[in-house]
Amino acid sequence: MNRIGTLESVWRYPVKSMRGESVEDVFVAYTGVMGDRLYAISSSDAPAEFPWHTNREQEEFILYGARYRNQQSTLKPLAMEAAFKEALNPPYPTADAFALEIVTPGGETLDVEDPAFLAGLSDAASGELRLHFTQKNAVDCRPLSLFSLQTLAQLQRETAMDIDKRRFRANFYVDWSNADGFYENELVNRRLQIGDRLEIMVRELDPRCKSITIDPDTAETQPRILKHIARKHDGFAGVYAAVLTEGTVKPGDDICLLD
Amino acid sequence: MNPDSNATGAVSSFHATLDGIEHKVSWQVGEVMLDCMLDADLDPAFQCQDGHCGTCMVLLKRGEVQMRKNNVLSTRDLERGYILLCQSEPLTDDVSVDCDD
Repeated sequence: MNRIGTLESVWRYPVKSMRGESVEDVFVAYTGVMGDRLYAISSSDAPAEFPWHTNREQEEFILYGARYRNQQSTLKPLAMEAAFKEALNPPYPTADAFALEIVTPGGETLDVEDPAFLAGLSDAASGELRLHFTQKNAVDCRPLSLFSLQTLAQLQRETAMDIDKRRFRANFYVDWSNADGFYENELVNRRLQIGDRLEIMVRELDPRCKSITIDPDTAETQPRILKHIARKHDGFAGVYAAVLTEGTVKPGDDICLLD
Repeated sequence: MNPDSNATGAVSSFHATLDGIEHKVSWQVGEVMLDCMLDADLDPAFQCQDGHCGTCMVLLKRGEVQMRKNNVLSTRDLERGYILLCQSEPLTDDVSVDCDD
């Protein structure tokens, strides 16, 4: 196989638009990284086709942390190895495995279903907010997003800004072996294997929005990053991918081009 | 912004600073400011042209505009003076925006 890079880190975002977490040795289902964006907040003021309350409307939303109460049960399905041996897709855990707690910017820990969580957000939000849970992953377009360290470095050079990679909220940050920034753009419609089993197909470029202007540690915005990507890179940075074969991944895994 | 203001009919242009240069841009009733800038061969950042990506957010330095819709700017953005070029029409003849901020 043609090895083209290494998986630098794997990230998931238990609540859409909130702070993410890097994870080790995690299952990737057809719906994406296990535990990724299983929770989301909707707003009665948002359009029907995109009902989510996000950090774009309330920047401080990105300062909220989330952690699963039983982290281990949210990384791999219990019967995963046995299922793989039989060439079966392992059954996903039931919803109760994904019990979640929230850490507010002020340091308070709340159950995700505690009304105080939404009440705290509502102070700065318009519309009625509601909590949603889904095992389908509330991703915008595709199950996976991928962003390279080379693209990050290029954007840093071009803008002369110290840009935190977390702004791009990817599932996979990758380190290409011998390629420049935006190499992932050339992989649209190509199949990749990551680790021993996961097979994905890169489907399209990732169109960027205001979310990447928000500093993940301060919630302050820097529109210049988004404007630069719009004017110099047609608005795209990173790629979306679909999962063809489920598997597990961990930082350091090889990324190989299959065709 | 003041949504209760009325276009006076006297408004025919606005000013936009882009890449450090201030431009006087012609405007006609019914046009959004982004289209006026593109018609003037200027190159402001934009993407969706539908008020939801935020790429064309710029700082309103002076004057009043009306946005047709806004599905991306926060209350904080609005309080700080950001508007969307793709959704804004000038209401007063002294509108000036900074596209570099």
